[in-house]
Amino acid sequence: MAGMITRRSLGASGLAYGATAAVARAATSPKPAKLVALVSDTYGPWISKFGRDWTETSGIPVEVISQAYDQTYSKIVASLAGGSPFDIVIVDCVWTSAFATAKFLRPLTAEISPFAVQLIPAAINERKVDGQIYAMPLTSDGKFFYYNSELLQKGGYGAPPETWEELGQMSRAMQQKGIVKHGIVWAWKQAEGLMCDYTLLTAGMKGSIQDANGAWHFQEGGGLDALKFMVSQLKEGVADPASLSLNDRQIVDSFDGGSVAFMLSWSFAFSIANNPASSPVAGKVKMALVPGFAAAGTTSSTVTGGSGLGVTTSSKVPHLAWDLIRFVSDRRHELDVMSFRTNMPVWKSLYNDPAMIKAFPHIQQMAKQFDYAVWRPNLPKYAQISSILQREIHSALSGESMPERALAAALTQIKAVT
Amino acid sequence: MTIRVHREPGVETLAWALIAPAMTVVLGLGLYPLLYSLWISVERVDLLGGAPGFAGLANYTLLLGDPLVLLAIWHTLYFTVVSISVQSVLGLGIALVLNERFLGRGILRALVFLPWAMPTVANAALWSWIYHPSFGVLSTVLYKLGLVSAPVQWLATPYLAMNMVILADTWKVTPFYAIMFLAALQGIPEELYEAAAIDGAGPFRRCLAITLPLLAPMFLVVLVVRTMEALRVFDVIYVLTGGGPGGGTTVLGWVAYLQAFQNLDFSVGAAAANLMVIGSLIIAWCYARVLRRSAFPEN
Amino acid sequence: MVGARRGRARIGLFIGVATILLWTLLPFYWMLATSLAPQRSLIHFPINLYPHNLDLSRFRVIFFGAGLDLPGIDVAGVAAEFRHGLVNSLLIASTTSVIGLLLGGLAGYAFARLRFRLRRPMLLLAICIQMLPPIATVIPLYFMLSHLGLLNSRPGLIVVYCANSVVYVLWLMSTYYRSIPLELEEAARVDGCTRFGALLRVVLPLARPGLVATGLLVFITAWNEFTYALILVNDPVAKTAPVLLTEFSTQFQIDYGMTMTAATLVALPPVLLAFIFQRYIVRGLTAGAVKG
Repeated sequence: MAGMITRRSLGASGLAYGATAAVARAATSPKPAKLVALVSDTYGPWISKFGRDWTETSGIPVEVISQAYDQTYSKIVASLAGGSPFDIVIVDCVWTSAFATAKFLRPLTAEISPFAVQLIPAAINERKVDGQIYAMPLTSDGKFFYYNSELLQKGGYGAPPETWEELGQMSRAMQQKGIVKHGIVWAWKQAEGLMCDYTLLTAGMKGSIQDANGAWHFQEGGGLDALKFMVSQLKEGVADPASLSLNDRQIVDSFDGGSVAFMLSWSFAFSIANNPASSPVAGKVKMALVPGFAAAGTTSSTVTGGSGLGVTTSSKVPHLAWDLIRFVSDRRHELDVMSFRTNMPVWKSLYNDPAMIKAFPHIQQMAKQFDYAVWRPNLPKYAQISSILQREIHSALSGESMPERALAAALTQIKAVT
Repeated sequence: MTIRVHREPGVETLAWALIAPAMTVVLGLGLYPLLYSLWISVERVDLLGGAPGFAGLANYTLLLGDPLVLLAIWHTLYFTVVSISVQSVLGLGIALVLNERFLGRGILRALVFLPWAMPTVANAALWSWIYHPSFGVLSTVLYKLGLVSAPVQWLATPYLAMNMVILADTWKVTPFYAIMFLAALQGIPEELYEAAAIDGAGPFRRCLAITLPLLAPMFLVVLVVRTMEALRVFDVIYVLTGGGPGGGTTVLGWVAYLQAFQNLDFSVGAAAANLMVIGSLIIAWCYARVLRRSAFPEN
Repeated sequence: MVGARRGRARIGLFIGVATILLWTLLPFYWMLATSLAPQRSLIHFPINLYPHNLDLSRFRVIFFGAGLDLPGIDVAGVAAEFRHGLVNSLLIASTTSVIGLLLGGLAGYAFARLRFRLRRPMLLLAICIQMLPPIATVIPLYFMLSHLGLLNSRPGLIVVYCANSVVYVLWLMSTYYRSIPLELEEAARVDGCTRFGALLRVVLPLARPGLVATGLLVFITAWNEFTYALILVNDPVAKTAPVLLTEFSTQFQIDYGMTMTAATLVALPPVLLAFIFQRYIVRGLTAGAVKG
């Protein structure tokens, strides 16, 4: 059986071989049999739907591969490193820089620049690496503040808290009255969600993870204060101790259970928490601006998320792939997209579109939140940096280490790899 | 028993004919990944920068010089040693019970085997639900017994999390030990026990003098197989803890995954994986020497 | 005196049996109970230890595609894929088992009984290959399969699984073969059989329990495999059940009810097979090793 590959060049040369072979084939190939897109199951159904529409005009079938969101990253890396047949891949905002640097993605600057101003700034900025744009934003998202209005009313509060300090007071009062077991549930499992919350709180404390020159600042000032705040949330019992092992999807369950009054989560949580079929608190969940810190004098802060679509370097028909991406992300499809899942449009004009507002009344509330948005550092080694910070922050939160020590340790490790 | 030393004509041909199909498949699909893994571990294949080129043993020294990797090696050894110890004791206990005569013994034997047939992902999903920090049934049971007043955070602190991971894996894997030990026990002739009883030996002495020594060969087989598997642990960590909390369940297999997939540094990832292979080989060699029995069939 | 000791022994045995039963069965029970419990009752502490109302909707959705509404996930679609995945897993695992037995069973005999050059190095190499964790081999395998055109297909996955199972079969069967008394083989050869003939007519029939047992072990291992199935296969046509199990956790929700339902179904075939054939497995696994 000819299972044995007899090429001498292994490793890096092997990968290069795969890439050049693909390019050689591309130069000589006619119309492709189909376009293949690799996305997560969040996007699978509707990209399939729009793909079918596109096929009607272009004559080229579209195949959409999707799998569980948690498995998507590993699959993309293995496939693209192994010489994949994919033309299009989903690119979460924090993967953009790594994929671009690893030469998984083609720059789309020429294609996107003409209309870049029509997209919201956060969406475009997160996809830029070294001045080139590497993915077409598809959805925008942020962390929003949700509260259980019924529990607040029971506590005698007519309005949600505007500062974290106020939230602490309200929580303690409600806990004493037995209205809630804990004030808030956080998603502080050692995972990317922890980094999101930390970034958001650091901004709330007027700090930053990194400055414009690339110097690290998380270990001092706002960054340190934010971590101390997080530790105190757990120590004082304001936060549900389960926060340490819950991720940003599991906390919605806890919130839905009705024993917690506040939650910070992405846009999808709004519809899930209000879904009468599965949520006991449906109809009582409202959104408000994320609180600021009275101590730092901030009004609010949030961190951005969202995904885009990129064209792979191994694609033989990049122009066709781009055509499909452009079609799928077109603004007229946004209403359909939003009905699949609540998230934020990337087109500025849609925020004032009457049809949108009618269908999704919360959209302007969410837009207001975006005025206070920051994004996570857009660096090639972001995954590793985030992983280091997550580990050290989690150690501080579980009491294994002191905040200053934890962040200092993180700084040492980060400096060693960057 | 040994076959006579002189080689028959045609034995070599027969042997090669028999092993050719198997070896073609194994080497065909396995040689390239093995060589690939060795090759890129001495190169620099870092997709996020760093000039490519020959690196010699630099990747290995990088790993072994990193305190976090050493910690991961410690976690791996802890996982392996504790797992195997606990599982051996439990397995032996179960085997001893199943070796007795009682009604329904056959059914119980079949039932005991079941956790082992669970897919690792399904098992990990089940235990992550049992350990859920708010709604986990384990907390509920302890609460109803009056032992705790609030749900227990099983996976929130490093040491506890590691032990809970071991528990989850133990439940699935113990049947293997139990069944192997049971079969070995069933191979021990009754007369040996009867003779010892007549000589006045109590149950403990009988166990020490007869059971354990005769169990030793089987124990070696089990030990070797399970050590290899424990050193390679990955799936259960991936689903249950993702290497956390605070890096507390990061084992060598997880390090390999992080380096290759998260950091896109395939060289160091391969080096970590090769360390696992080297570690396994060393341990296998030690077992063979210590128990004076070659791991390879002798004729 | 003896009576009292025996009485205590019986009580000890009873406690032992009861503990083993609880330890083994309680987690299975919980998996099933969760899959039958209404969604709302799952987000409560303390949680109900048995479902107060039986909710069959999840099983209904998987078997009939009948509506269950979970926001952000196309439940009927995933359920249909899951059904298909169960069939795929069955095909892949059985084929792997048969091929693995064929190739490994023959090779195992050679390693057990025959002396030939490179026997030790071959075995050592095979074992080394086996020891590499899937995470390390998945990328080169992806590359290889992609060039062979076997990516994303059932045959591709079968080939990869066979490569892994052959060594396993080889190892187990070679120890098993050595437990078969040499005299029987030699008697056959004295009667005029060739070595190969003796293998076919004497050894293999005697080794049948070992072959059955090993075949089942290979089936279970292939059925449960996850990493290769995730990365090397995209097409829903070829996806396996353990991979589809993870798809009930979406970007929005980790639906424990649905995940436990899927887990129950994914666990069912190997567990049933183990239950039915456990006698063979016990005999097969151990006959070689004990006398080894």
